[in-house]
Amino acid sequence: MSRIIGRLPSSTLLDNDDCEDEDGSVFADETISVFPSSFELIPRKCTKTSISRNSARLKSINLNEHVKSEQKKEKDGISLPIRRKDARIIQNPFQKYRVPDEVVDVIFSNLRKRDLLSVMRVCKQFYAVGHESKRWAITDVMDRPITELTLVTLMRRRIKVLRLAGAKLDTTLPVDPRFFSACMLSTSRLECLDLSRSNLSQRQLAIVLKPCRKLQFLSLEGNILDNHVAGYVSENKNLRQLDISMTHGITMDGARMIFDKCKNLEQLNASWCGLDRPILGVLLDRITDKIRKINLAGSVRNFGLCNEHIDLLSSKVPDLVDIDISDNVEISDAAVATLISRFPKLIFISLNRCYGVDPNIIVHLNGKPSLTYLNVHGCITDNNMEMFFQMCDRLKINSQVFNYTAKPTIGSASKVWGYDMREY
Amino acid sequence: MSVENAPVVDVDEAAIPVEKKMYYRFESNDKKEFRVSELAIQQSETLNRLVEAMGYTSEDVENKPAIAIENIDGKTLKLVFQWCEHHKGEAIPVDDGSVPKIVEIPEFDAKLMDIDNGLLFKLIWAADYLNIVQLLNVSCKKVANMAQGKTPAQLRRVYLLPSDEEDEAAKRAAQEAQDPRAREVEEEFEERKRQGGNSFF
Repeated sequence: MSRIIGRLPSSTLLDNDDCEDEDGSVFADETISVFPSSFELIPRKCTKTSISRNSARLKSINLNEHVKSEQKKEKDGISLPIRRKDARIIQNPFQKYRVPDEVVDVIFSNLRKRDLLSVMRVCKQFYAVGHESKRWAITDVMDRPITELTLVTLMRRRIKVLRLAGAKLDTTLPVDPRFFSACMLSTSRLECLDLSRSNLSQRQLAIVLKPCRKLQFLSLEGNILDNHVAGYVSENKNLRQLDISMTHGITMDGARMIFDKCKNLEQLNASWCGLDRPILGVLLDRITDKIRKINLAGSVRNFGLCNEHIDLLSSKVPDLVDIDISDNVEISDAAVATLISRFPKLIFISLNRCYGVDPNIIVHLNGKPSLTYLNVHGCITDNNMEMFFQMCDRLKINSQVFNYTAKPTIGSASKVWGYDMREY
Repeated sequence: MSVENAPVVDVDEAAIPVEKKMYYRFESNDKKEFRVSELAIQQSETLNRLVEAMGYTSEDVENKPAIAIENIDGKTLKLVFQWCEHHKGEAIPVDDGSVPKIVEIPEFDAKLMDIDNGLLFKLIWAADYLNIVQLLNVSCKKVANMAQGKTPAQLRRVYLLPSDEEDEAAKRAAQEAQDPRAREVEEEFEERKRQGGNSFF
């Protein structure tokens, strides 16, 4: 209301095109052609009127004369008796030349994501086209502050590889419940999802994981893994690599859901996620022989991984290539004996800080033909290290500091499970 | 331009049909005539199919009337055929769905597309209509280049786009113009609103 009253005194005034002062900054880039001819389409001095008070007087002013010359150019021949304030005729070239949405998509598929975003902010049509663009197939939101609304929007784009690692989620702006419920009903075509270090709330995890059905690679490092989340994860039957390291809240039911349904796992990283004996029982009971790399480091102290579990594992998955059972105090000489006698294809063994194992037994791993890498940080005292190296001359001792089982990023930070996240 | 004195525009003057090559004749919607070689036509899927379906012999081409392309004007069609002649025989790129497409604009194309906004959009439309994949890619790349590193406000200025609000306002104004009664109703509404507004003071 205040706007209308504010315009009352001036019934007619010249429109000093307020965009004009931007000219300098916009066209500073000489390399980009600016199409001078089309600028003539904007009426330089159009009359701005308000129909609020003196409408009778206004009607007597014939504005048509002013527009006539331009109207001749137009085929539609729309005559505007009185120009409203916002009704400047700007001819949208995309509408004038009937550019179909597919072509708009082709045009903008040449852009980088940053430019695509500013294009999407121009108008509804561009937003709709850009939203569906294939340009989003690989999206990197690493270490950026985002809101729940962003999450919802991201889940509706055509994303195949999404990195949310370390994304700082704003918890103060919850998304509209309608969006949330719509998201719960939708499905996504995500195949790779990296949520490590992102610390999402349960609600946010639901937004991200509920629509996923086609995940092949998933990292939940450091997030909550309660029964709800486990339920969402278990919907992805084609899961090949699962990283649940450092998660908290896993239960027997959760583990049952995940390992009952995900039968195609090739790599599993369940380190430091509070595995106790019942959960380990569930896990090892349901594991398939497709597993090649497994990391069970840091299970619950005094109630975690023990020698019987290694026996069970050797009967279930004889073809294991990489095993990490670091920081399990209950592991003792019997387990190492199993490692030596079974698992004919084992190349990597990590026994860091397994204080229950006698170094004199570890030395026998030197005789295992398939083994190449052995990591025993903390098991051997510094004084004996020299001698240990001599006795295990065939092996590479302590050459690996980190275990990369099922981890999205190995070495170079620009790649996630082999997909290049960089922009060209 | 009248039909009688319509000039025959030779796109590729050096290659007048002396050899045994087939040259097809096309006519734009403003009655300009073009001669285009068979090889160049292969760049356009639409025209290629059309020509195959017609099955003209070389005598037919001369005797029968030129093939009319109804919805493209002469200026645009000339550019299209110039491009086709220059790129004839080149392989048509297959869309493998890879995004971003890596498109290089060759020097010839850059010169050809040194045209104003309107013509460029007409060219894109024609390339889409005639299904010339590479021309579409190149011309789209050209339009996309204009958008690089711009803010939304600058983009509106570059492409001369109205914002959604302006668009709607313009549509409303156009509608009102067609239906004067609607305008009267709106005026009355504004009047009432104004009176209501004044009562606040």
